[in-house]
Amino acid sequence: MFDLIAANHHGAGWMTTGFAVFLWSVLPLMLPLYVYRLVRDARAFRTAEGPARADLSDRLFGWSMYLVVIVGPLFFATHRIWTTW
Amino acid sequence: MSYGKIINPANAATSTRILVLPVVVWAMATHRVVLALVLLIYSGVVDLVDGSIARYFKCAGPFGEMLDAISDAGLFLVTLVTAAATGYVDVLPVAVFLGVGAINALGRVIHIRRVGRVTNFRSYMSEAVGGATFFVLVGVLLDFYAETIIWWMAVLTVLVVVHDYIRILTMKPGEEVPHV
Repeated sequence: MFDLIAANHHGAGWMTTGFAVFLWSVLPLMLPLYVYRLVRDARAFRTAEGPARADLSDRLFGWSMYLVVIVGPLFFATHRIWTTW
Repeated sequence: MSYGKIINPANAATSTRILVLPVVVWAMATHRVVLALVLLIYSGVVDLVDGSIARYFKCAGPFGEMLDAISDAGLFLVTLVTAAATGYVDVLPVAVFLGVGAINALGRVIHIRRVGRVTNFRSYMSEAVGGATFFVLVGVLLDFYAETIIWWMAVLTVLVVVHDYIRILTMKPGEEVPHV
């Protein structure tokens, strides 16, 4: 059974669990976009030179960071849902 | 109808984000978490649409951009400091995160002084971390792994600082970066 009143700071754990469910309903939609951009720019990076290569490098670091800030909260959301089940 | 550079619909919408800040502080301090959450979401939604409002009414300008940046920073700073001061989250991770964020902001100043413009270097890493901060604020309000998330944001911001400082300090004055 889903424990909707699992305690949080405010005694309203359903909001925390709801936030976890919200993250799981939004973030997986964003994930493929950044995977696509990462693969696309990684391919372009191999043949790029000069300032274009530097810009692609900035993008690759950026898309990697987007993946981290998507996968990280998904991990916490999974943990929250798993432990309140 | 034409609007002024300061008094226009976009700036009116953006300025309400600053006006709600004292209410956010009060709501957090008195643990009216739903009210604080509603105001936080309101601020986030206005932040999303104020650029579109400015373009629709043809009133975009530097003052609006500055007001938007002040509103972003104000919401972020006020919410995190209030969270630390009223016991939502430990003071140490918030202090470290804000400190690293200040070093990151200093990098922008150094970039403008060295290279001349802020637009010829776009930090995608910084945008990723910046985009996540709204959800961090919601996470802090809802006690969603608050300390852990703030520590992680501090670590990610350190990575942003290292990457951006290397880029900023190795760019030549006037160098153009093509956005391919």
